[in-house]
Amino acid sequence: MLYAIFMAAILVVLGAMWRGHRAAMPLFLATVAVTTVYLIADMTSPLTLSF
Amino acid sequence: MPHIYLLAATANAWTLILILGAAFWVQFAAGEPPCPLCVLQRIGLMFCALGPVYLLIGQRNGDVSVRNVAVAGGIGIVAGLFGAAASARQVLLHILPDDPGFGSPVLGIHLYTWCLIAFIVHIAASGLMLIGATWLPERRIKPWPLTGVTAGALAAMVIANILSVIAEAGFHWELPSDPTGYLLFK
Repeated sequence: MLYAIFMAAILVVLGAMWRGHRAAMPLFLATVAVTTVYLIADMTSPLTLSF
Repeated sequence: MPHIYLLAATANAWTLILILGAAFWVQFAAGEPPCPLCVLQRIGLMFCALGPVYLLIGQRNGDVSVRNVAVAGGIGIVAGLFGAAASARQVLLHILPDDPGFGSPVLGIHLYTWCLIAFIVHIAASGLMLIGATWLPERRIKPWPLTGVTAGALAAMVIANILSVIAEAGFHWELPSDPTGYLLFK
């Protein structure tokens, strides 16, 4: 479900880009940051989400 | 020159969309549900596609501006770094001798290694796009006809992945580390 939320955020960013909304870039950066934190958390705790 | 940018951005976006489509083909035709790191790499591909699509969407106003090229290139590089980190992580997990790797290889190379190659190429392409802005004239051109269909295809691919990952994870917060089926239907 968590991944679906990340992807939904990407969809929202795409929609904001299409509408020319100024929140598009901050939302993109926030989504990348949160997803990166999640990836780093996985890297520092091996064998949780990775195969 | 603006048309070269639009053509390159369209080709870039469609290449990423087709890679996501190929991942679906492996998922359903070969019966290999993606692992969590595979899904993160798919997310990285979607992030990357936002760069060229941003350039295409920005051109609807009539010009390929240096500002839009810079933002699209920045998106591409940041997204490519994220995706490269995720795929390099998975490559390193299977780097030991005699490790069979995860999933079936395609053309002798596992999908996560293909992804790492794709992300590195994407970063390089984004850098070249930024350098090429040196020769970009500021002039208005006709709206690019492939913008809508490209953005729509990316949106459809994101929605398909959302449905896929919900089917795979069911009502669980995370995916199983070595998925064998779809928890929503069990």
